[in-house]
Amino acid sequence: MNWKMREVVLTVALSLACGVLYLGWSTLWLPISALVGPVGAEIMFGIWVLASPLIAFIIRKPGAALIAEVSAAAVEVFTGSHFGLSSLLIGFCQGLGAELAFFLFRYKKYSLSTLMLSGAFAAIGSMVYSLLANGFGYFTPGVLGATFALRIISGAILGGLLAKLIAESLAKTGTLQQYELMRQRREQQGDTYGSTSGM
Amino acid sequence: MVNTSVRLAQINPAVKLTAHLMVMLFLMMIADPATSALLWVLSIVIGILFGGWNIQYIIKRIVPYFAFFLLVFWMLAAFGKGEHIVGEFAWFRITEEGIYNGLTIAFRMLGFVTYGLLFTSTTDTTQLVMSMIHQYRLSPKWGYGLLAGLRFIPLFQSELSQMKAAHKIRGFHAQGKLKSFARYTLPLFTQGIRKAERVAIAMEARGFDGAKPRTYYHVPTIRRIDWMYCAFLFMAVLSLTALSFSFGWLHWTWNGSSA
Amino acid sequence: MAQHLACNDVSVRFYGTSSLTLRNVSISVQPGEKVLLLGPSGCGKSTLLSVLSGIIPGTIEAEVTGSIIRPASVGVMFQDPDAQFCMLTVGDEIAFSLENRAIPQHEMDARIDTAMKQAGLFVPKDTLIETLSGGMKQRLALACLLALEADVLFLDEPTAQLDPQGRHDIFSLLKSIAASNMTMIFVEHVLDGLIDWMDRVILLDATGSIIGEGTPQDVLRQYAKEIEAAGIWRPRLFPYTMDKVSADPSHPLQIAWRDSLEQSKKRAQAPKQKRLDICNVRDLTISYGKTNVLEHISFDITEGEWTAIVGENGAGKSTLLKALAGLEKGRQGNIYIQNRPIRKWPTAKLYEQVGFVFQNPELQFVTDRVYDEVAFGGRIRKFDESKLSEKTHRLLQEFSLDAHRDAHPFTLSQGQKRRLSVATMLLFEQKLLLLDEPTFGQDEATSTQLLARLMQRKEQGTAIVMVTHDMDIVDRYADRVLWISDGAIRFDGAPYRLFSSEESIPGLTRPLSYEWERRVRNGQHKCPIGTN
Repeated sequence: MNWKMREVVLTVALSLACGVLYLGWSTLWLPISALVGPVGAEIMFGIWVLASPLIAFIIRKPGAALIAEVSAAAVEVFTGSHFGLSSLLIGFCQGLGAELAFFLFRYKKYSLSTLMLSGAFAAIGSMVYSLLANGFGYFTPGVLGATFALRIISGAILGGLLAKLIAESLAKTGTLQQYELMRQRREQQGDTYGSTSGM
Repeated sequence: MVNTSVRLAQINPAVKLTAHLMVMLFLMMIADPATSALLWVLSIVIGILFGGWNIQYIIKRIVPYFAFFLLVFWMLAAFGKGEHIVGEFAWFRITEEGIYNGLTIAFRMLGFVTYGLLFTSTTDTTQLVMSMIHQYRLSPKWGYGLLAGLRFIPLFQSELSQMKAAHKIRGFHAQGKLKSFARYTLPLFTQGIRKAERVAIAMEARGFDGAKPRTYYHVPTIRRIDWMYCAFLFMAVLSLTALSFSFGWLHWTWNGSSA
Repeated sequence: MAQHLACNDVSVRFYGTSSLTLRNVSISVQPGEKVLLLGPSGCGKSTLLSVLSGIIPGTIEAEVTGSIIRPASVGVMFQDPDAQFCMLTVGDEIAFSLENRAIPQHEMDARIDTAMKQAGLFVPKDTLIETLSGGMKQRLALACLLALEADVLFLDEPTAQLDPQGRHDIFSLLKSIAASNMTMIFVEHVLDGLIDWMDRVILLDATGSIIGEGTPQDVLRQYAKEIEAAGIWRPRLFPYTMDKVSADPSHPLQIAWRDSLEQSKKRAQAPKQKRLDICNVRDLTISYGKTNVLEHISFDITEGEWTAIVGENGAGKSTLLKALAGLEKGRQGNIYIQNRPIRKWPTAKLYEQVGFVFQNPELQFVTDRVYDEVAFGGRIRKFDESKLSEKTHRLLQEFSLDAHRDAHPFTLSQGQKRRLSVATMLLFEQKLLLLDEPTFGQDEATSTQLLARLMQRKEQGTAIVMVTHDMDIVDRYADRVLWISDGAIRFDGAPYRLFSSEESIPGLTRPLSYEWERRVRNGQHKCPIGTN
């Protein structure tokens, strides 16, 4: 699949914008998780998987979801954050999960349910990392199960649903005219010029 | 932020990245506090030997993470599984196993932080990307695209703070509804999209297409010193692990844990 | 002879729009020719430039008909200094041009040095791009293009985001490069310092068709009416010269200068009316880290007063403006809004008194519809919906946005966005309106329209404070000018007194009328001495 330069830079730029949002979110998360424990704080988890469904929905190419989440994580590396390398690993696990959802539908279906599935799979990906690295396996089964469930729900809603809402409001601003999301919409509406592009 | 004069900064970024990620993966396989602590201490020693760290630097950059250490420790001690109860109050239930596992994970997290800091504080961004292109065959399209995007990070940060000020004046609050949060992020993303488009146009207008043969201004290579650093790092990790084994401290993740 | 650069019967339509952006355009450019494309906002002049340079349809997709001939190697300079680079340091950025041409690595350093010298960029090669000023960034952009050794340079409003000094520098630099036999195609808003060395000007109308072309003098004279009606910035002096205008007392420009000087003088001498204070600043010091951005600043702002804050980049103008809106905290001193310390105002109440228009209006839009945007403040304060709707309609009419009431704010033109952001700040009849470079990057028609609205508001008693680099606007509209330099107020008084003072005013460009006045005055001084 051939990426245009425009799509490459857009993917990177939007991922990094998400990464900047994540940085802000992290400062909120720490104090909350200390108080209510890992379980309660999981409600907030979904924001961290926003990049994948959002960018995959706009670009609609294989690999977009994975690259998006890894790039977003790279913000922490390049801003010199101490969590740099670990967030790169988490980003990879989440991105892989998010990508799987689109792969299952052969990169043909970009509906709300696919996006929410992508958010949920990203949550599972991060859970795998948490089990391996953060010692989540040492939690009591009750705590672990609740964590897992909440994280998936949060991933589907704050990741998938929110991504859809953001993409739709972006579409209304007219800034996405040149990208696959809008091209496919134009095609559906019968503006055939879109499909003869790339002269 | 990046100190380029120290020895660790001379190491090929791609090699350094791989080596540090491998040590971090190794840390994930360790399930006892003693070995984890030893491997964490190793990262500090490397910082002092090759990273130009001194006591002030460590106090400033590492010590704040002790709060994080306590947090991670507390989470597992109070919410972790275990039979031997030490104390119980409110919804917290502290066990011996929880304390043991909590210490392991807390030291592991500290290790992640310091190995990460060792990398980020001694690696030049451009050199890292160039070395990804040359050593790991990252396509120039993605390499240069990534560098182009990185220039936006400070821009995004200042835009976010301006947006907060503007929303304060308007009386707009993003709390509560999902939809209003989506609206809140809109200026950030539209600016990002426009900037991305302009940069991509500018890059192509300067003859970049990612496919044509090109030359490079920076060509990082892998030299002897890179292999020597890897050898030193891995030998040190293995020796410390062996030491811990000889004292009977060592536990692997797959062997389960015991207190 | 084979054509150098040309397009024949070219039309362009963008996807998602129904009308053509460019229709049946044919032009042909000779080697070494300098051409300026002129036309109202949105007439497609940038599109034409992109078609000629190959960006459309190469990078930007659009439906293009007709034929285009262009040399193998072209370079394009863009307006946004923050969005045309992909590397982190100056040297690497220029090297990127060389890498794309597959220049051998060992030749690069020498070529980078040459390009930097040509572009007047005297900084170390490892300088971080983000630390450069806008003007320096544009020099870097030029150095990158010179490293391409292109046959044609396209310049798409290269100075649109620079202050007058930066613009002046870039134009003189480009002029010095133009002496070489390089073909240059320009799109520009502000023409002073540029139009006089163009070989040809091509004028487009609002529908994207060419309506005239010729030498700059001819086009400016022949199409004066069209240019004025289209709201294109006209040069302040060209096609005349200072000598010529000075020598001829009946010259329309000299008459206009004399008039405007008379006006400014009269306003400066008018007795000050006793008015209520809206805002008092007392001994204000603001610092970032250890450096003081502003030191011991004091002044008052009264009802119905128009204040302009001027000064060089980094002098602290925007910081002061933000402080007046309570967005920057002083380290020392106080700001009072209607005699009450700004810190003691509840947020919602404060912003019913003070409006702030950001340089980038998009940052302050919070809804998806123009109408809702204006009504927003009233809705969250639970105003009566029928009264609110009446007020919103009045504001939309006042700012000529009625036709766009259902549009998404982000889809408006630059001028409309700016007007909308001002309208949103007047819903509560705010007493103090703060604006950060409100005319920046806009054409003459939209600027004038906005300033006229502000003038109306001022006459109704609103105090207006704006940061600007445009001294003509200061002279024409402001009652008072605050010149900030090195964190202190260097001058506080009527614009006439600042501009007509004998002292030099570094970093500020005097309006032409004052330059003329100084000339006359100095001439009178010289004459008696000369005859002695």
